[in-house]
Amino acid sequence: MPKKVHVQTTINGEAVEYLCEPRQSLLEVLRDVLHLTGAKEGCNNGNCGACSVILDGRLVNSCLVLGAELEGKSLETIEGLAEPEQLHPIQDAFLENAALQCGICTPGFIMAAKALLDQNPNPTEHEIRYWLAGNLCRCTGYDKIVRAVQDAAQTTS
Amino acid sequence: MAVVGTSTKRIDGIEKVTGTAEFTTDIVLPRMIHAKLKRSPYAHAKILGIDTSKAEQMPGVRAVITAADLPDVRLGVLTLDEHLLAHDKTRLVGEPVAAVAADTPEIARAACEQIEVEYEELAPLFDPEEAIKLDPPVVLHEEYEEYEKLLEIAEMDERPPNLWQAYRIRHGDIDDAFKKAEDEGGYIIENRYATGYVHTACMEPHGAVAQWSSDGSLTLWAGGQSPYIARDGLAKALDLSPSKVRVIVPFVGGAFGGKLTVKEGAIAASLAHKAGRPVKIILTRAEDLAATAARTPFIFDIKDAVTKDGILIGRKVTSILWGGGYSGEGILKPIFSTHLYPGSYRLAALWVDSYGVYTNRVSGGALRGYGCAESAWAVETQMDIIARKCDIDAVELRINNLLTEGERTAITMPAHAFSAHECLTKCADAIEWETPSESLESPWYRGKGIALGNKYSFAPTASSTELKVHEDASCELRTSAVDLGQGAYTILTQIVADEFGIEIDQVKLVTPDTAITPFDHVAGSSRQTFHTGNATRMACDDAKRQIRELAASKLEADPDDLEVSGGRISVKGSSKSIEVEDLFVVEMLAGKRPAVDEIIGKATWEVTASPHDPNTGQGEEPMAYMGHGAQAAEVEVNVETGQVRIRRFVSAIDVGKAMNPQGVEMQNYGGGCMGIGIALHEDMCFDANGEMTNASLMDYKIPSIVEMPLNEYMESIIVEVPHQHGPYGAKGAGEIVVVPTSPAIGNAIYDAIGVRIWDQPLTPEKVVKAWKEKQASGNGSGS
Ligand code: FES
Ligand code: FES
Repeated sequence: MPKKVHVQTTINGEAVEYLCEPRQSLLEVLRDVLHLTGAKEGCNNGNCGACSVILDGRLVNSCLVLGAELEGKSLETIEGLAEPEQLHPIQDAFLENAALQCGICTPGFIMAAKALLDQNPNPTEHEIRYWLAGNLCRCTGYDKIVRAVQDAAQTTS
Repeated sequence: MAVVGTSTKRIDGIEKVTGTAEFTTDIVLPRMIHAKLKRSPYAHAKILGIDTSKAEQMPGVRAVITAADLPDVRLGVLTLDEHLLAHDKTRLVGEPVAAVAADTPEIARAACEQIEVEYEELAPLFDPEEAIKLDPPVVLHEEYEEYEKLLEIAEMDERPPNLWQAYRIRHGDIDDAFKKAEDEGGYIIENRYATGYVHTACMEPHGAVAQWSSDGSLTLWAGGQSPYIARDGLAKALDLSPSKVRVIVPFVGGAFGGKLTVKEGAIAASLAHKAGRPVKIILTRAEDLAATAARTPFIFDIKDAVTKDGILIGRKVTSILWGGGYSGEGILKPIFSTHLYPGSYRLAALWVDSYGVYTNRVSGGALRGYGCAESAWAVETQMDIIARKCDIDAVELRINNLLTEGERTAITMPAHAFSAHECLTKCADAIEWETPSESLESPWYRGKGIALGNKYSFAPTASSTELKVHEDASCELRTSAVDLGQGAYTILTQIVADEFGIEIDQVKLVTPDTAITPFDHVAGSSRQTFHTGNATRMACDDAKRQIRELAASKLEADPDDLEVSGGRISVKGSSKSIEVEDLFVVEMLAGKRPAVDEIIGKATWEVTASPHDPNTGQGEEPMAYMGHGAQAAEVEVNVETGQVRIRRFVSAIDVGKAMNPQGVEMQNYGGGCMGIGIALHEDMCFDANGEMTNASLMDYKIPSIVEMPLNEYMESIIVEVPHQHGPYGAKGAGEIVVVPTSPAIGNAIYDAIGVRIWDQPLTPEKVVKAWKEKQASGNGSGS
């Protein structure tokens, strides 16, 4: 087995240190090493967005990033979004608008929506749809997800 | 305050939006190891030998199993034709032949590669019309006659050797109907339709975690649709008493009919037994798409007799379900698909021969709509063709043929809570049916289409629930009904809150766990709201009865004069009351305990049904209830590229009573979306060896957010025609929402460009081809 890589990084605002195999994806590191299981594996090849996280301000599929690449970077995951006792406005909007069913795609959609609203606080419906085109949902038909993001944009801007 | 009928927020919502909801894949147990499957590369082959020695010697490998390690039992839903791991033969590409458990999934995968299987390739059989012959070129199951079967199929002089299902309907005088149509200036309309290969493609792939206890009992965590079906399946597969098996259902990431099997779970359990450690198995996306049961195609030959005024008087159908290597969960589809032949229409004569056959492709399973979504494609396209032939508006033609409340359909189902008319007209109004689509600039064309649908919910079936009342008047509902995303947990919570007059957060749900929660048949066939909903109401009644009896002496009143609401028991028409808490007493060092017994209401809701005669399709009431819905689409078709855009979509479904209107909207949107994918682009492709060639979410294309119409063009209509047996009048909504979608879209394409495409999906290639053929011949390619 190749030697493990030592990584020092920032996750959800906290300094984190871990060892990972050079071949391990960020998704595997999050789930199997750090036990941050909010990001899900829907495909492991960049097609579903269930593993979405925000890396140095950019939305990425964590299944397509290596765990070793996190050195010195800053990562946001679904676990860092809500304050204790206080959901993030996007989470609230998903709940209020019933923008989820089985919920397995939900953390990915919420992180993707956050990355969008961070850089474009007032997106049009088209912008929302194109931004979220990398996230698949088999349950909802997306309509309510769009509404939730629109609602969240109103409250956050 | 009533909460039933309001858009109560999902009770599992907070866990799901914070990422803390625990799915099967998130479960980690101490010393847990990981399983991978060795799968057959051949569609049809004899297994001559398996050498696992190299794999067993690899560091980190903890257990390797083949069929030799398992009890020699065949499994299946109603025809027991399948081993957990291939025995002597493999009958489809991807069939598991061995399994490995190792310290990491990577080691397990590498070890699978080291397993050497010696095969003797056999000629595969892929064509269902070859398969159904009396002397087919290939026979898949030579020992079929010896298999255990739990269902009688139609009698035949000689059974084609690859046939596993035959069902007939013989209603009315079919010859007379065709003669009448011919003699009296009517029409005979005959066409062939086919549906495609579709996968549930749940965002959560199949998986399970298995752990044995020292007393020889097994616990399995698996996100499936029925813990009890899973428990009994595991017990059978592993030769255990069902009481030795405990199945716990964590959150489920979608199912849609695809999570009825316990195959992976049973293999994990067997590995866990051998390794003496807990085992997790999670299928990769490619395995999930290529090797778990799919919605396999139907071929329908349909011939209708119609009067010159557009009244349907006779219908004759021959259909073949293109099954795979094993009959699987698709076993009843050739029967259930026939429900749509009469559908919502009056039909004096109906003659059906419906078959299911084995081929060396992926096995047929359940997928939302279970056969009805497929037959609707044929039937509701026929209705459009008939309307055009008779020059009658397509909505009007349907209305003219509808049954009325209280009549029986040609398959003897009573038309009760018959809302087809209301669904159809509301849907037509919403899409402005009377106004033709605007013309666009070439090469774009616009058109509208509409279709009606039904979904029956099966019987016999039963649901049981238990309801415990605590000293703080909160209620705990124990149910084995699974929330697959459809919102069952929220609806059941609403029911309890309503029945006890308490707040939603005073209700706690104990979710499916066969060690704790009572029997519930399955989260399938749109049955939870209807059946579990009834059982929940009844359990509430039982608990309230116990409370009234306990309170009667304290209140010096007759139990019948008491009412229970909001945590209080009061004497009707007086101010006398006590609290639920007063029925509990203080026990030294232990807090409160029930003064007499625990207050636990129990109930079972059961619907019996007499099975139909498989030779005539006639009998008593065959199903629990009949659902209705209509959908309409406006499409934009580019005749140069073949692209079809859904511009507008309306889904109008009857739910009897909307228990949670937001939940019904989700079904309308989510089902419509899945239906659009199935109609236009979802298509499992296979190479000449029977291997799926597009087993990824890149190539097996489910709709993304950009293919769906903009919000203002997506409309959900809720129709509420109460059902006499539904809780609060409710019926299920989960499947009807995909039934009319494909024909609505196909009919809209015809309206736009005047061509019919007979086989799903309606891909750009087919659109362009049909358009070119039409141009070449100077008219439409159909009707
Ligand atoms: S798991 Fe990363 S995109 Fe699907
Ligand atoms: S809510 Fe189930 S996949 Fe999106």
